[in-house]
Parts: sequence; structure tokens; C-alpha cells
Amino acid sequence: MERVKFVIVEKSYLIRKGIASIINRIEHATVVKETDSLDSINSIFQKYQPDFLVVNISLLNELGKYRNQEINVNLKEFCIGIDSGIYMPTEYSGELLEIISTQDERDDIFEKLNLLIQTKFNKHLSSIQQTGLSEREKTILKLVAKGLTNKEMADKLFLSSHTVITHRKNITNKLGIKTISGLTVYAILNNLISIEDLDHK
Amino acid sequence: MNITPEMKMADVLIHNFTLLPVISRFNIKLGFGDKTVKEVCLEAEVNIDFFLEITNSFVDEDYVQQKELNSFPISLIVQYLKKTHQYYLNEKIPEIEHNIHLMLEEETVDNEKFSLVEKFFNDYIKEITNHISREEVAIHPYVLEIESAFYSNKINKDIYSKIKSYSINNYASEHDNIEEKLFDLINIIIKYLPPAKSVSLCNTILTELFRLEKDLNIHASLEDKVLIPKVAVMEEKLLSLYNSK
Repeated sequence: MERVKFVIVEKSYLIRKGIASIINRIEHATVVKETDSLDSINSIFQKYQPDFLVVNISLLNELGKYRNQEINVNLKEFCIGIDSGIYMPTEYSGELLEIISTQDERDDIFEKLNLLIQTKFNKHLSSIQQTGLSEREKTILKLVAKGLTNKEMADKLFLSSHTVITHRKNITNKLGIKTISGLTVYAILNNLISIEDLDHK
Repeated sequence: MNITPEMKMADVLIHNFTLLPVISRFNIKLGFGDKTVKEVCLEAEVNIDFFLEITNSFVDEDYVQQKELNSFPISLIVQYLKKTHQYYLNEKIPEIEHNIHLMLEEETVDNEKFSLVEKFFNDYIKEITNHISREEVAIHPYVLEIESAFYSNKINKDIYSKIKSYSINNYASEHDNIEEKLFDLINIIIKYLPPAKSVSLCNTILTELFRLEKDLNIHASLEDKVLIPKVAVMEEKLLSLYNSK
């Protein structure tokens, strides 16, 4: 499979290197360019045609200026914000695909990015990814079967609702089961929960 | 290939046996000889445009249903939807239910696990029954009222406030996932349940589920792609008529 390309724009050398090292550990993913400012972002886009842009949220307003040039795509489809805790979220923060915080654990960042790749390139990956649910997905599935809402699961597992939704999409894609009642039957058949668990509702 | 008025009805059925339960919803009986689709429809007093619309959606999943307002009345759609409801509730569902019970009685499956299927299907029956009764009690009378107001070009305050408080698009958005559930059940039986010893009974259940699912999909697309857009256009015209008074 062709590699999934990331560009990172972040002033802080340590944060930039840290995120790059996580991305490069993800299967199929690679950082094609790291830079500390948006100055040459147009030519970077032309040259590398990245799949994802990872950018500090403090640069979002500036990024807005470039959007109608090379980067005329919806931020929601490809832009991941870095929240280093220093800058306030801007009006663009809500438009982002995902936000990673410098406070996040390494594994959480890994998982968030991995999910984004899987979701975006679903068709390519599905043949490779068909093998069973991950531990995280099993946890989510159990909670779905017990009747929790996305919001409740997000709170319980300290994830964003967005991440929970992505997990649920992946579970559905892997199992071929869409509805909550169907997922519940699957969970019981596979001993993830017992029928007694359901009666506690 | 799409079904056309000039085709022989017998050929249509020979090539598309899944239409058998469909033609009986139109009260069309077998024994066509060489009669064409058009001739059979005329004899049975069936609106040919509507007949073609329905049968073509069954034989061709990509068939684009038409939305022209005047091709056939809404009352025909409602009548057809009611007939399919009866077919689900009085024939298909009891049949599947019966076969699931047989499966458990014969103990040819892992009963503990298969009873999950029974429970799933029982819940499903409740849900589809509610869905259907809501359509017949609330939605159908509403759309018929809209249609009659539309053709008589009369709108009173009563209908106006009904449209305002309950437009058909609300119904479109609350349209639930009764087809999805059935598909999940099929998937669970094929992929995740331990195999049953009575293969033929299990195959019968699956085949019936597939048929029901297909029928429900066409049922839903008739509602979503024909009924709802038609009613939405009528609602809009009625509202502007009322406002211009």
C-alpha cells in the first residue's frame, strides 16, 4: 500500500520531533516534511501532496489565509491540531479533524492518528484489518452493548466523542453489524458480556 | 433490463421469480397465457405506471424511481404500502418466527446461543409492529389529507397548522433502521453463530430473512424516494397557497 503522508508545522523543535516519531511508528504512515512555520506551505503542498496536515492551533488563523490557494480543502478532512496548552483555541479549532494535546500519553496520540488513517483509507486497509477487534474496540463494544451513549463512553474512557465514534465505525466495519441490538448479540456470543450484565440496566 | 408494458407477463415472472409475492399484492392472479403486462394490468384494474414503478425497483436495485406528481396518486402508494405491511405481519414474519421455534425445538443448534436469535427476532417483531402501526395510524391519513387538499386546491387553517407542526420531512428524519437490524441478524447467523445441524432449516430461515430484507428496502425506498418527495412538494404548494390568501 502507498504510504500515508503527513506534514507537521510546529514551532517547538521538541514537540515537532516527538510527534514525528510517533507518526513514523504507525504502519503505512510517514512524515514527509517538518517545518516550523507556514511560510512555504503552498510549495510544500504542491510538492508532497500530504494526506494529513498536523499544525499547531496557534497557526490556524494564519493558515486560513492560505486556504483558498493550494490548500483549498476542508480542514475537517485533513487537518489535525496540536494543542500545546499555551494558545487559546481559535474559531477554526472546531473545524479540525482531531486535536492532539502535548499532555496526551504517547499511546493515545498513536491511537488517535491510527484511527484517522484507518477511517480515511478504510477501503485500502480493510483487507488487512479484518482480523478481530482491538482491546480498545472490545472495551467500547462492551459499553455499547450495555447501552451507554457515545458521550457517556467518552467520559468514562477519557476519550473525545469523536474518537469514540471512530471506534464504533471501525467496529461496525470489521463485524458487519450496524445496530446496537446486533452488536449486543455479538458481544454475548463472544463472551464479552453476559446476559446478566444486560439486566442491570 | 427494465420491465415494459409490452412484455409478456409470464416472461416477466419466469425471469424474476421474486416478483411472485409482489403481483399478488396487486391482486393479480396467475394463468396469463400470452397476455402482456399492459393487458394484465388493464384487466386487474391496476395502474400500469405504478405497477412498473414497483416491479422495476424489485428487479433492478439501481432503478431510479420517478417523482412526477401526476403519474399516479398517493392513495395508490398508501394502498400498496398497507398491503406489504399485511404481507410482513401476517405471512413473512410468522413464517420466520415459526422456523426459529422449530430450530430450537429440534435442538439441532446450540440452543443457548440460538435463543439470542429468538430474542433478537422477538424484539424485532415488536419494533416493526410499532413502526407499521405508526405509519398506518398517523402518517398515511396525513398524506392522504394533504393529497386531497392539494387536488381540491383548498387549504384551511386546520391543515395549515398540521403541515406547520408535522411536515413529512420530520417523518423522513425519524425513519428508523428496521432494515439494518434484519441485515445484522443475517450477518450474525452466517458469521458468528455455531453452525446448526439442520442445514436446510437454517437455510430456509436465512432465505426468508434475505427476502424480507430486500422487500423492506424497496418498501423504504418507495417511502423515501417517491412518497416523501411527492408529499413535500404538495406541502410546499399548499403553504404558499395559504400564505397568498
